[in-house]
Amino acid sequence: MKKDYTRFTVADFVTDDAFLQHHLHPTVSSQSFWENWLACNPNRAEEWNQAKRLIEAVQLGLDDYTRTFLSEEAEEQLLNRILSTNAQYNQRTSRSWRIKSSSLAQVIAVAACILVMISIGLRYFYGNNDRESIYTKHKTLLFDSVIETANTTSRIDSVTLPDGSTILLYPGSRISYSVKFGKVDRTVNISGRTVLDVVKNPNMPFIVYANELVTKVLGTRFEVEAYEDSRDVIVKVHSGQVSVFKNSTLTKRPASGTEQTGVVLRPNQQVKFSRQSEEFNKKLVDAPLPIFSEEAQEPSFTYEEAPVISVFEDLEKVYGVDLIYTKSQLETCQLTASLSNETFREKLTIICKSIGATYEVIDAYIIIHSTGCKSL
Amino acid sequence: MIETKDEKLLWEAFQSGDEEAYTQIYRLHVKVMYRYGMSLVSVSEAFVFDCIHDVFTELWIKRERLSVPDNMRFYLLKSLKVRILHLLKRKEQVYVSLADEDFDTLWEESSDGIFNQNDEFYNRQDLIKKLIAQLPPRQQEAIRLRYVENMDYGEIASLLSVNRQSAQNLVFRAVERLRSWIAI
Repeated sequence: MKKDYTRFTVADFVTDDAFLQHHLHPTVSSQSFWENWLACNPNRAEEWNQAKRLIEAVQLGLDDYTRTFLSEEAEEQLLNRILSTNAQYNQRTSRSWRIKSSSLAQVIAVAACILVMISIGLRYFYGNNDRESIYTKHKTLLFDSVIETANTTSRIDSVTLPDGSTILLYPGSRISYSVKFGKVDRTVNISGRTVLDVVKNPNMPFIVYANELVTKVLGTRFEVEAYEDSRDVIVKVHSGQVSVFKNSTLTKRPASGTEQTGVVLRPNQQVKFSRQSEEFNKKLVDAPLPIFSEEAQEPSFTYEEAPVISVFEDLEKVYGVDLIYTKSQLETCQLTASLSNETFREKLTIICKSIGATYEVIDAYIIIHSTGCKSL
Repeated sequence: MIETKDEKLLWEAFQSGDEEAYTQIYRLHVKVMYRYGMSLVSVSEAFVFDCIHDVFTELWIKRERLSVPDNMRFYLLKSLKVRILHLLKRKEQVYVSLADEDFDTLWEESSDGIFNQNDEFYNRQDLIKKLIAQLPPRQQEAIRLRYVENMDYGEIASLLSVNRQSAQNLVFRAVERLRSWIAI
């Protein structure tokens, strides 16, 4: 506290960390500091006391907030919920325990692990199998003879399928498919998080089962996140187009036709399927990336007095997103900027700022709000 | 008020997998997290509970990789807000597109006519409450953090995603306004 407080006004005091710290949580040293200071600066006492009363007034006004009441019962319930989630997690990790360092803890861990294994084994043998996972159900339903890969390491694993498609398997994830994969159909069943790079074959769609969702593609790169115990299933598209629908009855042949609930996703879009409410929530991915296209060369994103509409068209082309704006309003807007290194969101923010517009993202659309630019 | 040193020990115990320490951290901070969460999204208590749940379960999963926070309360409030905003992303994006200043000015205009109203205030506390309710939401959040949660300006800045000076300005403007309205 070496600040010179002698010129402090009321406003300075009430916004000073040390002064406030003293009033909210006084300590012996802060007490003696201010007593001493007040004794030395009696002419500032009025300011000091006013500041103190102002703080007290503000606190009085915030009383409703301070007294927001959480019942003991609710507190206890929430704690139990948290602990039970943790217990599930503990059980899951101890099953695939990685031996790390040599210590007593390791021995105990291994012993605990064995115990868990035994208890799982017992449960398995003595029936009570109703908690069989969707993944396992799919596996037996879909394939006669199965090839299965599980990633039990802590690194991302890569799997190449007979048709040349590659799949990145994140830790704790697994994939299964038929030994006849690629002969009559291309169907895989996954659990966990995977990124799929699918070789194009218009005659044979590639079908992914993941929890309650079925994703159908011709050839594309996309990502599926479907953990057994998570609340949502997420599908994100990097390139190409995929259709995602709900496999309501866990059937082998997903019903084709009109009655399906589902969505079509284009690049840089994702859908989150809530397993509880069974709702699809489609939106733009958090960080859209340029889509690769063979024909056109990428725009440089360097502009000099360029009509902003053409800038928006470049964005739409490169990122495959839909911007919604009123053309007539933006006709007079121009942009001079170099945006080659910025991310999609940064580009959009800079463009909007410079023409005095704002944007909002609704579902998978970006809406530009503008009142137009003054013509020169 | 728990001493910083004990806080550190408690945190380290939790990191080594001590469930009791973990529970104690929960009990120490859940009320503050709850009221802060409710002040951000008052519409849904269940949503706030979900977010607190997520913050604590994530702590448990990541415990070995975490560093010891300087201020546990701040750390937890920040995690909670990040979680809430993450889940409310769509709303958050609308905020981002408006500069903070714009947002505050929007409110500033609407709150001038307060004394023209013929409301009879029962007492001073009601008056102050009413005045605080008229402040822009970010100023309200800033003064709650400063005068109730005792966060310093660096911490408030981080919670509001602004720089330190702006955080200080938010608190300053709110208090100045209140001072001009109430006789101290």
